[in-house]
Amino acid sequence: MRSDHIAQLIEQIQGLCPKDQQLSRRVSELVCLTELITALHGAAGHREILDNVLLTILGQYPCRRGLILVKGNQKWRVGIRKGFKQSVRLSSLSLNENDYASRRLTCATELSPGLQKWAKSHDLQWLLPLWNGRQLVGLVALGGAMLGDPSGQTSSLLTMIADFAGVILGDQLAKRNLEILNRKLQQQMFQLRSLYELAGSFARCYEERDVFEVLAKNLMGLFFISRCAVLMEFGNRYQVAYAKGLKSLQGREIELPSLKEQACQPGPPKRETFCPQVLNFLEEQKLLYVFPIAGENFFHGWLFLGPRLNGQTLTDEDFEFLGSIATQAATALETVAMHKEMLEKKRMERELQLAREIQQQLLPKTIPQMPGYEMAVEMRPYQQVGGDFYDVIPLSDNRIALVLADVSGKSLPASMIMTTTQSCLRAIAGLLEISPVQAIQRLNQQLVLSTQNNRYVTLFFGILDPAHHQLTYINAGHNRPILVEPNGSVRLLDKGGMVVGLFPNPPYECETVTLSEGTQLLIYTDGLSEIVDDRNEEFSDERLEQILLHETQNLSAQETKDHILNQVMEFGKGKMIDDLTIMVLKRK
Amino acid sequence: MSELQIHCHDKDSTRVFYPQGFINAHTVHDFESSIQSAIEQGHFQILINCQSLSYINSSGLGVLMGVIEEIQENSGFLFLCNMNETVFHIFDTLGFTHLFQVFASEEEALSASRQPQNDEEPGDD
Repeated sequence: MRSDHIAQLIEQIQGLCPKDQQLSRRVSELVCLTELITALHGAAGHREILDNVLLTILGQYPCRRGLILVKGNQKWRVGIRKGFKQSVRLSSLSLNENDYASRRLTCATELSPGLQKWAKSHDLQWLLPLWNGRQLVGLVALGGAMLGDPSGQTSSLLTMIADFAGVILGDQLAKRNLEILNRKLQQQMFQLRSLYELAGSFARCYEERDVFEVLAKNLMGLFFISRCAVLMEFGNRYQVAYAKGLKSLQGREIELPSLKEQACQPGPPKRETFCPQVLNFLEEQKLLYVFPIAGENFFHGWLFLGPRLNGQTLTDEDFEFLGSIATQAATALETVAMHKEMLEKKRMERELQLAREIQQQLLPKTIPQMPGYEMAVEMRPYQQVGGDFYDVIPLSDNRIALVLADVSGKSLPASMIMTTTQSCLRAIAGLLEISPVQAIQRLNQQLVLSTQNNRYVTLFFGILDPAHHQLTYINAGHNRPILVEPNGSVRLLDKGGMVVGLFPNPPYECETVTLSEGTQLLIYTDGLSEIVDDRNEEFSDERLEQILLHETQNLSAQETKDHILNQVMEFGKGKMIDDLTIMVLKRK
Repeated sequence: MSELQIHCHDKDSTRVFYPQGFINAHTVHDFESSIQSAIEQGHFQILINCQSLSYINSSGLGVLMGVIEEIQENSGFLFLCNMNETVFHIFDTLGFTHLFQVFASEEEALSASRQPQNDEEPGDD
């Protein structure tokens, strides 16, 4: 309704009964209410509404002072006040719906003792509740009435004003709550999206530092935090592994705290769970919150965060959210570690492959010609590199040195000793006029000096003189080579002595055997004879002997070697137990 | 083409950054090193003109958080201007508009930078 219409209306009504004071008064009340409604609907904000309500009330019931308390964020506050010289204290005031049974203007003396006391201390006599349905949304308090106690009519007018104001304020409150809720929802949406992005970012981390970067930046951005540190264990100390926004920290170490600290919950760091050094550090750097960076099985360290710059504190929900991100970071750290381990393993594999190639290079590439004889030889390492080796070294007078050896142990350590042994032996065997016994003695001395106490080599060393069909050999603790003559007699070459490299100066002896036409000699390591089948039974020397006696007499050396290997591999279903070397020598 | 390009110009005593594209997990490092290098060179008066900034994620906001204290300690400022709706919404959702002064245009921000600095007031809620 527009004011000119109202003015006309008033004139018309008063024209009917110009002398009636009562009527005039009621008309002016009506005008007041109409104006108030118009004003409240057009009000730009909360404050303007309160201002209009309080001014209208004071206009209808003149008082020296008045205020409106409103409910905001669970707490009551002074929404507007007029005529107060001092500030209004609310600390002692507790106010809830139950305190206020009346919906009308009430004298302070009729109220609960608490409210009475508060009203008195501020010199307020009349209170008018503002209701929105069943919810108390405001309270008007008036003091220093200038026209005595309000009449019944004034009281009911003020109550009507309160009704309107209550509805409008209630709507405002609901709208505000909705806005807060909406904002919270948007924040949660953003957090959710960030969580999704975080998962991707963590997955792209290849270094611990990357994980901390992702963790710190996102949390700082999401929660307005400008300080952050990660403490991790290095040896027996905790060290600042990452820091952002902190001062002078380079290589800062902190004494090892007790183990129970690892079990701490996300939240403010508790005095009883952290040692003084950590607490001092936190205080010095203004860090207020701690989050364990821990996965299911691993504890990595702690994340510490500083205060929120918007002045708010982190809520339980925030702790939950931040805690879950810290857990994600822990998983990312485990992935990083696994990735590193994998790279390390790959590097090791590459190096082993290189070692294997070097080892293969050390083996003789061709077998020297031996008139009247043929020879086949093969080595299969159990792992990438092995401790077996063989050698065929041409000597003076067309003689040939044959070597087959097995270093104790497997893989890389064994292969290193194998290399030493082989190069020593090559150097020694090449010396003129050296006897087999002297050669092995010298080798033994060298190995005793250059290897650990528990490392040794078993070795078959033989010198073949093809012109005289003689083989002079030393068996130094090695499997006995099997010599089979065409007439079916079997001889095991067992003369020699101790394994090489274990004791200084053990005695060695050598033996010379004559090789008749058609003689087969099988020299091998235990990786051949000790291969087991699925019942754990060894292939055994006897089986090798039987093969030589009955299956290979008419085969070439190459064919004999392949046949034996096939038989053995079939027996063990292809499974090896150790490095395997086989050498077959045949006199034609 | 990279997802983010950052140019900067010094205007008066203010270093103005012009990030173009997306500040996200892939590009946040570039963003950080730009801001960080300005601070290392002693530029504590910083304006980020967001005219061509399409998106900023939480780690990008984290970069701003990581430098704000140092800037304030050195009596500097970090202003933002020309945000598009998306970027403003991100800043506003998290309440960054209460922490950082946001201007509609670069001119407004620069003229505000010539005024003596008031202490930044956090929101009244």
